[in-house]
Amino acid sequence: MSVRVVLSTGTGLERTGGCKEFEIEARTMRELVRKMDQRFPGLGAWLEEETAVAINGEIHDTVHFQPLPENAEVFFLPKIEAG
Amino acid sequence: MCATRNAYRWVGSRPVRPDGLEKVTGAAKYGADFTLPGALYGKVLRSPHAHARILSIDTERAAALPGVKAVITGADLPDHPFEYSGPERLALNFWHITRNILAREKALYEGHAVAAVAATSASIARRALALIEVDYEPLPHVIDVERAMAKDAPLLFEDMFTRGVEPPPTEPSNISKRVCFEMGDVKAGFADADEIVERHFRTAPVHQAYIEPQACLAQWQGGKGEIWTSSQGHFAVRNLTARLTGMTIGDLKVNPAEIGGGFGGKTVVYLEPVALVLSRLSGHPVRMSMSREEVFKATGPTSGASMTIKIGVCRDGTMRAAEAILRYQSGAFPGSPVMNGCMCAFAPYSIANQRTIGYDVVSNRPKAAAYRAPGSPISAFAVESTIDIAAKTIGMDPLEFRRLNAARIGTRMVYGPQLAHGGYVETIDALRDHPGYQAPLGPNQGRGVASGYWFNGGGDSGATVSVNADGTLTIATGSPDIGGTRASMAIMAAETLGIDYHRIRSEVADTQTVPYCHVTGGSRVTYATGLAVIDACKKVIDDMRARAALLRDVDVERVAWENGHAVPAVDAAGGKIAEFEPLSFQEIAAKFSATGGPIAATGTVNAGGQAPGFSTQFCDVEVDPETGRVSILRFVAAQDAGRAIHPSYVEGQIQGGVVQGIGWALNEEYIYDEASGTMSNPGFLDYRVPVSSDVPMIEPIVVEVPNPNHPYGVKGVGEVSICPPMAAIANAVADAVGRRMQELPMSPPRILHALNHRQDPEL
Repeated sequence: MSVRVVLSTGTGLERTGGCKEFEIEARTMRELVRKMDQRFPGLGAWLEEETAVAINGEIHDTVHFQPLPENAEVFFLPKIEAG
Repeated sequence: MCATRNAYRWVGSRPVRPDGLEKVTGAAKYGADFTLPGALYGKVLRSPHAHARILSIDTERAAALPGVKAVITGADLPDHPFEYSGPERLALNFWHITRNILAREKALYEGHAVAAVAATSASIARRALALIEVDYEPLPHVIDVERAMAKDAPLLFEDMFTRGVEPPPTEPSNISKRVCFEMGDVKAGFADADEIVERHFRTAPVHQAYIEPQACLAQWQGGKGEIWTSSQGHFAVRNLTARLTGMTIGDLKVNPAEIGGGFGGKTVVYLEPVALVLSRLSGHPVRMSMSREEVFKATGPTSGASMTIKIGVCRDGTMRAAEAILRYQSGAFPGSPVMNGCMCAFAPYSIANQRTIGYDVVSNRPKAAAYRAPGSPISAFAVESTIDIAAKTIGMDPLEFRRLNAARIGTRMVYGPQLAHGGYVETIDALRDHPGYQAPLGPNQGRGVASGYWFNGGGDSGATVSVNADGTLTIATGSPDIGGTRASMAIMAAETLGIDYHRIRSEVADTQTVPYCHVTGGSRVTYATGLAVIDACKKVIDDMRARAALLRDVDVERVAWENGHAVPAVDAAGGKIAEFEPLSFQEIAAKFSATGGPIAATGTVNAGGQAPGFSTQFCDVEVDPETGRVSILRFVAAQDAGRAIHPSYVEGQIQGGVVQGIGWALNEEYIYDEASGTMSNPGFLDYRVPVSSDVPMIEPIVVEVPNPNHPYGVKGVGEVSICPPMAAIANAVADAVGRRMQELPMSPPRILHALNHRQDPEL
């Protein structure tokens, strides 16, 4: 199951050498983050701690349990401050 | 006014607020109301300088004063490594935070805390402060954001190099960070446009202006700490204070007081770590509270800003390209909401080619703190003013222009994803249909329109629900009740369980009693903590079905839950699959002991799928050409709430946000003495917030486009209403007198200057 992954501004581009778009085989956010971490060691923990994620536009914290639909579009975003 | 009706029994109803009686009779306890036997008075010594090196602090004479039990400086708090942690937007750096709590090497703004004392009386504490000798080396200061960005500006941190710039700069500056969001081909988009509008805007820093100053009581006893405080999140207070004082989270208990307003400004700590360390050193409980002057000078206002907006529009009304350059003050330490400003700036619109660039800039002001939709109202003022000019340039009605370009489900946002939820167009349509929108205007009167966007929040929350023997229910959460969440939690529990709302008591409990809840902010509590309450209620239903099965001698699969009763389940054809007399919630509660012990459940969530909020507003103003005073004649605000759980509270949130926006637009600002860098108006006599006579009745229109990710359709409602008012008023002023106000506040002197120094009408 392939999903399109995009790192937005402020979400770790310096850890991927500036590469911002990926195609990843993953069924859950846990699997996606683990595979991103395999490709760029240390990125996974950073994504979990410091980003939110939009899965087909729906915004969530970057949590393990979130399922990924087939051909999902996954954007990592800066977490938003509460006011 | 509520636009739709629903089929729920409790959701959408307007019961009397559960905390109302205590608040109107004065019985409710706020931060300063708590005390303990033997409690000392804590006071803070603050810098008189806007910028100064601290060469030495001598506390000996103060400590020797009879009645003084402890004196501390920054050296009494553990230091922290210089590292940014947490999400990039927040970029918490405890090296900075501990220096904001108590200064170390430098005082970076007037009012910066330098030392603190605890004494047996307030007067002794004040005398002790006067005995502390601080040797300052005054340094040049910088207050204005554009001056702070200049190459020759005095530097707050000689080793600050702008992050987010490639290659990294080799010279330090006051620009702590640059961010950029971009999509499409911005250059080609502007080339395609028939008209290009470009304007420069400025906003003043404004304070959240909560009525209750920061106040707390802290006690250190037996190696553990306990705090009573007014905040937007006692779990956040616990975590920050534990980190700043070097203790474990589990050893610190924080009790929530009622809160007299926060609006984002009480998501951070100032006094709590100081009071706790004073208590540890003195062996006594310590009470601390700020004066209004301290609140203004030492707690976070939101950023002032300088902004340049450029919009390319075609004569058919479509926006082809847009660019925003936002420069936000963060105060004395990095961390303005400029990233939010960048992400929200054009979010209500479908514009294929966009670029938003943000600069986070330090200056000698108090550290900025969150304020209602942090960052979004500032960029909305500039963008929505420019959009008004663009609509007028092509001769289009401002609501029609916005509707034509409105973001809808599937619209690509500049920060990446497609918009997953609607609601914006519906707010525009609510105003188009309003009879006031076409009402005639008199001389010197004008009408202005503006919109706003806010993400709304989800995240971590927990709740416990406990069933009492008489069939009443107690809900406990860790979310301070700022906007009526006790009531909204109880309403959703009543709806889920099928019981009477009036049999539910909803409480805010301390950090050792209930699961973690993130702050009450980000318009998140009714959504996220509400989901935790619903989750716990569903567990109670499952438990009660099992107990009913026991009492009726049937399998649990044969027991369903309906309208507050355990009833025989039905098959697919609708036929009962069991025969037994239904049992009510109250009857099962009465049998709790015989059926297995207390009935209670905990719900915990990391709630995602929150839907953003849109607001569109119009206002009518009248400008007095002799005095420059702007009077608000009418203000109508439409906002998508998803579903209004308690419509009166939603309307109150809309009205409150609009009133704060009116103050931001017309009067509020930090006024500085340029020579000394000190604040000239640190009190409500000179820092003018709106009073009742300044505003008409704000007319709220609650639009309901339900969020499918919540059982009752909830979206957040607490913040987006503050985004449009500044631009709506500026657009109305332009309509009234032909003067485009591009700097806030639009105070009488500025209006008069605009009227007297330009002859040609402006768009």
